[in-house]
Amino acid sequence: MEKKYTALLCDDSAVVRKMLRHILNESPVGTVFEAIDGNQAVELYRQHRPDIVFMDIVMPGKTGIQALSEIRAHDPSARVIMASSTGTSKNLKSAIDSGAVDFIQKPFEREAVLKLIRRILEGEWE
Amino acid sequence: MTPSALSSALGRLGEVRPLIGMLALAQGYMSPDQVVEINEAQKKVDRRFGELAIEKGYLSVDQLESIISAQKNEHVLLGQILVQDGILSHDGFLLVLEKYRKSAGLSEEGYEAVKANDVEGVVSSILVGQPGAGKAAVRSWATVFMRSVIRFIDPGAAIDPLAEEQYKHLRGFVQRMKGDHRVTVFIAAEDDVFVDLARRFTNFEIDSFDEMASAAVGEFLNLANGLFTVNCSDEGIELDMQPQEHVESISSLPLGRPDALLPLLLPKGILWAGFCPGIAR
Repeated sequence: MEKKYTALLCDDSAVVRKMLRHILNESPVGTVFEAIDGNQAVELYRQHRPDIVFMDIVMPGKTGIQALSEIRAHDPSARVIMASSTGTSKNLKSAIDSGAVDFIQKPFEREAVLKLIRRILEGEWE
Repeated sequence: MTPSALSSALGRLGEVRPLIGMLALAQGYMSPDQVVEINEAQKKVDRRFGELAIEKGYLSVDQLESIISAQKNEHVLLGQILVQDGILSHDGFLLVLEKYRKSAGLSEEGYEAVKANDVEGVVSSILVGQPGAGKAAVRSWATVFMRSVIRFIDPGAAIDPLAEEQYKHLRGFVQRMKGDHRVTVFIAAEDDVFVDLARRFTNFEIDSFDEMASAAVGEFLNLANGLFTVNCSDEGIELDMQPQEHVESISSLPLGRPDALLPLLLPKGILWAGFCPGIAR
């Protein structure tokens, strides 16, 4: 598998980033950047413009939704997937309205994450 | 479906009333064809959906009563809006609903254990005599929390009704929730219990209470509370979770008597989980 894509993982939990990194090992993502909060995510996005972003919603300081808005203001074509353990309709609506390309609920299921990556990066549908 | 169509549908959740046909479909009482047939019949005669469905033999009186008394369900309401907007067919709604239930339930060992255990019964019995025993939100949190422990940590987890109530000196993790209610949830345990919990939750090699163990335990609490807020949202109650925090000792938090306190017996000892009204600072 050609590892041709880059990803940015933003979550204040080191364990969530590690779990997601394990799953991405099986995807065509080769380079992974990690951010521990919204500010760092915006900064890393500006520097590297990754192909895909996984963004937690509930984080100390800048929330994932705020970071998503800033990233989309900088790059309207940014592909940001919101990831949260709280899949409430309010969060879902905020994520969509702020330009998220998808929403995935924790805990991450390997297959669901890989399928999402294939769909968003390579246009593959089930 | 476009993101804007979904956003528009989500924005109207509070404005629509659930339709009997959609609820009957979601409950599996009626097929999509039967619902469409009754909807068509209603265009010709001024009669209620339930009356026509009973007359046709598609619904029993008991089923209709159970539908009417059922609580608000946002998933069904969202489906209803999408069907009314012409974005989903009745068949499509059923397909998506089944897919959602499958993904939300997961067909794994833990889920089987949840199904095999009478979690609600066990939780009800431990809540007897506790301040929150009569509160639906407290019962809901306690049930979701215990299910999460069984599903993600240990299929053999149980409540220990004889556990001595000594948790305030223990290390803990706390998460506050604000919105329609204000709630503080905590877990407390000996380090061995937390390390074992972290290892089981992540499948990573974790041997001591280090940064990774702390992150794993915090994330487990976040996950269980996230599932609780999803249930609340489904019933029209919105709660925003705050980031979880680690405290060296639960006694450092100004917590009153919890509405619910669960002593969960895990392989390495007791995991205490508490649900307190208000925001503990």
